[in-house]
Amino acid sequence: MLTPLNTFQLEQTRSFYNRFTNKLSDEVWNLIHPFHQLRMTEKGEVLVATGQICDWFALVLEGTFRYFHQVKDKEVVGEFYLPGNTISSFSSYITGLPSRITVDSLEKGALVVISKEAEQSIAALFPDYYRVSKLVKDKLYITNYQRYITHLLDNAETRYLHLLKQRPELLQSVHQYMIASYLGITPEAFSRIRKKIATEKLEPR
Amino acid sequence: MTSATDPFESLRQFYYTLNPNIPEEIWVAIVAHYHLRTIPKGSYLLQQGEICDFVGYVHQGLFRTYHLDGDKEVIFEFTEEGNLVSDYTSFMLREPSVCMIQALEDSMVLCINFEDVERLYTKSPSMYKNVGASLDRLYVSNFNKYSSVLLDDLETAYRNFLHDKPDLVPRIHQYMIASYLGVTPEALTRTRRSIGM
Repeated sequence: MLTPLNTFQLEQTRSFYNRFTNKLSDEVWNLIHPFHQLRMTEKGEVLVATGQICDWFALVLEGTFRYFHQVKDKEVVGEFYLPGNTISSFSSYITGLPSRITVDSLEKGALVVISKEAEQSIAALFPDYYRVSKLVKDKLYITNYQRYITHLLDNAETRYLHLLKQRPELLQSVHQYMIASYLGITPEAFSRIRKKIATEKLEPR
Repeated sequence: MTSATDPFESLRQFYYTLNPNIPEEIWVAIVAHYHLRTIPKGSYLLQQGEICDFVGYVHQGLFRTYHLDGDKEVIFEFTEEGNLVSDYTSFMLREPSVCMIQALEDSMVLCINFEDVERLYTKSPSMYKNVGASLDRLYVSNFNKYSSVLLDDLETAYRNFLHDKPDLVPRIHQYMIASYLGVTPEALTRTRRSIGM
């Protein structure tokens, strides 16, 4: 269900914009904020199912989300999203084709949803929206690309060390077996890597 | 070949398919920044370690994007006519690229460089939509490629490749397809046999 945002959520949304633009005046913000809607999610709730067309993207206010590929009976995690991240099935959103991935909520969460329709209205009132939207997508591209490169070129241990450095908060909010899936290894192999790194920290070479 | 024989007409069709509402004067401003490059088979558009300064629209031909690790090649992507070729991360971040882009056939590419994209963007925020909509295609192809790598299932990855790029199969050596899928040529041959090819 979509509902209007409260004052605090509006403030969070506005500071999201301010990360990308300095052109958002109070007047314009008052005109465009009604096109942003709140979506509360339950643990396990599917936001985009494989095969659906996704016509929105959202800013995460609360909760942890992920996307995954269903491979036979296995779920392969592609990415996690935490507060401050943007979330969508972006390929489907860009192309209008059915999503190849499933996006779901790992716990209770809150999203600010911008539909394609709302986007038109926002951009008509606030042309710099196009810039914000492009920067958001570019950022996603870079994240996706870097994940892809590291997946191809680095081993699991290097990938884990990278994750520890780049997104330590993830390790607090997500189950170990999902992190293992995200790193492309079994939970057992992940556990061995963690032990090895913990030991190396205690006995620096 | 793309449907149009004139490279600039072919580029125009690419843009207008993604966004049919580009005003004529905006199109004129955009296309003025593109220049045509002819790349002979075997030559490079980009060398590892260089900053990628272009996004290219492939009018004719075929490219491969790969990483060179010692004497080992890891192929990231094949780009055929009608698609965009770039190391877009290097392009955006102005960082040295980790990959080479090489023509596998005699090719024609329309390129726009970084400064000109920026120049267009500063003209009007709507340029982010008009030019950006085309650059977003790079996201889609990278995402699809990454997805197939994640799947960790050669048969599915190979089927996706056949589905997404059916025209490419006869144009690319098997060993390059194997490298692209992250497996040995022998493993690919076994998979091809097992699905009756």
